[in-house]
Amino acid sequence: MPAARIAMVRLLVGLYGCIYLVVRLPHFWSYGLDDLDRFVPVGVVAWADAPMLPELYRAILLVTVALSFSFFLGVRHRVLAPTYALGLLFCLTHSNSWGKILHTDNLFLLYVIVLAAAPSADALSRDALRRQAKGTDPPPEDGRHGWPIRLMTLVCAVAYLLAGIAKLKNSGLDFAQGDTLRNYVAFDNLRKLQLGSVYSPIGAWLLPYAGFFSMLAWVSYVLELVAPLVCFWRRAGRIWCVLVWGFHFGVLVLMAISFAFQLTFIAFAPFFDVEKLATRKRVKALLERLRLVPAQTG
Amino acid sequence: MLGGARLAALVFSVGFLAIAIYPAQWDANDDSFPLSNYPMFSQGRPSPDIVLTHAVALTDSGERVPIEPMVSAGNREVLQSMRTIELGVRSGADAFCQEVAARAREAGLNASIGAESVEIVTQRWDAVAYFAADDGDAAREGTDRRVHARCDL
Repeated sequence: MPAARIAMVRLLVGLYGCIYLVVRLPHFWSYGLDDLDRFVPVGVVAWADAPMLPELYRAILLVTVALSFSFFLGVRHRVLAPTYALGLLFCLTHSNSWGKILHTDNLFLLYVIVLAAAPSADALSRDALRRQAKGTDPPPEDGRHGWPIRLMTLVCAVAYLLAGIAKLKNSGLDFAQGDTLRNYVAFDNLRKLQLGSVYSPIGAWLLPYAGFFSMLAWVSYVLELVAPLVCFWRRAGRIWCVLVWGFHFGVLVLMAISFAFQLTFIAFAPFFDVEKLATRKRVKALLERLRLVPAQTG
Repeated sequence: MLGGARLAALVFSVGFLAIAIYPAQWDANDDSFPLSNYPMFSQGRPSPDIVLTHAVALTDSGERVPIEPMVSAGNREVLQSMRTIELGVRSGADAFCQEVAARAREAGLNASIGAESVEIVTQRWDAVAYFAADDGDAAREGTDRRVHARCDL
């Protein structure tokens, strides 16, 4: 598999991380709290009895934001990328340790961990350009650039499979047969409205059409449960990605819940030949400007 | 790809995948991060009823206006604000109400919407009926209203 494919996935996931962390910085910043009553630690944060000192958490957060740029640009990848992954793991886990776990960042974080552990900066990176300037041969294109791609597609599929299994375990086929999804859409929109936030008037408007929600429930059930199968058939995998993107778009429209990583389609990049993007004129020019590929002369 | 690197990639991949799948055996209430069994919206919900604790501003015109998450909980995330309000009530509704009122004063809710006081309240609604109803209908008012604390702005 070409080194450029995993490198392009790193660029896309890295760019998403830079923008996401900067835009959400005030949100993450607000979790610099020392309120023991509200601290419900999960994951790696659960090893501590009390929240980290707010100043220290905020310092780690700022370092993580800075490292998101080095990850994107592929600077000192072997050292800085794992550091970024650790920082991101800590900051996102800390922000989910206040009583409510959100599920919008899981896949993004898991991808970053895989990309940080993989040689994803062997191309389209400052590291690669520096190596080239020194006259060092680039690493050969072989399996080393393929396993992270396959792992990410499997991790993506597993996430959806687990969501399907959870529905099977917790509500069986009632999820699709009954009014469960319609009630969830009504419930979620009303709680947002009563909590002074944005809700979906479209979801509220469609509530009288119970059959519509039952159909959507069946579609989401099938998409989730067939997820692992599509990893072994490229064409089906790509169709599945488009359908799952449609599912997330539906969730956005009906419930005002934004799975930004999925909605940008970056979550599905490992399923596609994304290295071809680098051959497009505009992308090429951008990569040159970012000094991720050698500048063309003449 | 050399033998050692191939083995390392294989071990990492199998291990990572095993860790990602591991939550499949968790109980529905045992969620975590970033590993998760993704239990959101998986429980059966045969009833459209919703019981919610939230913060509302009482205005000079007698209206009850839900208070936005940044003011009610000091957080932009709506579901986190819901949890913060629940935990706030559990650890002392009066003190929590004062906290919300302080943020409401800071946000200028008295001037912007004519808020006179803040209420922390638990209420029940039929969510489907709510959206089918018109303003002023009983379905919009909700039932089983329980005021935990009220404080002036």
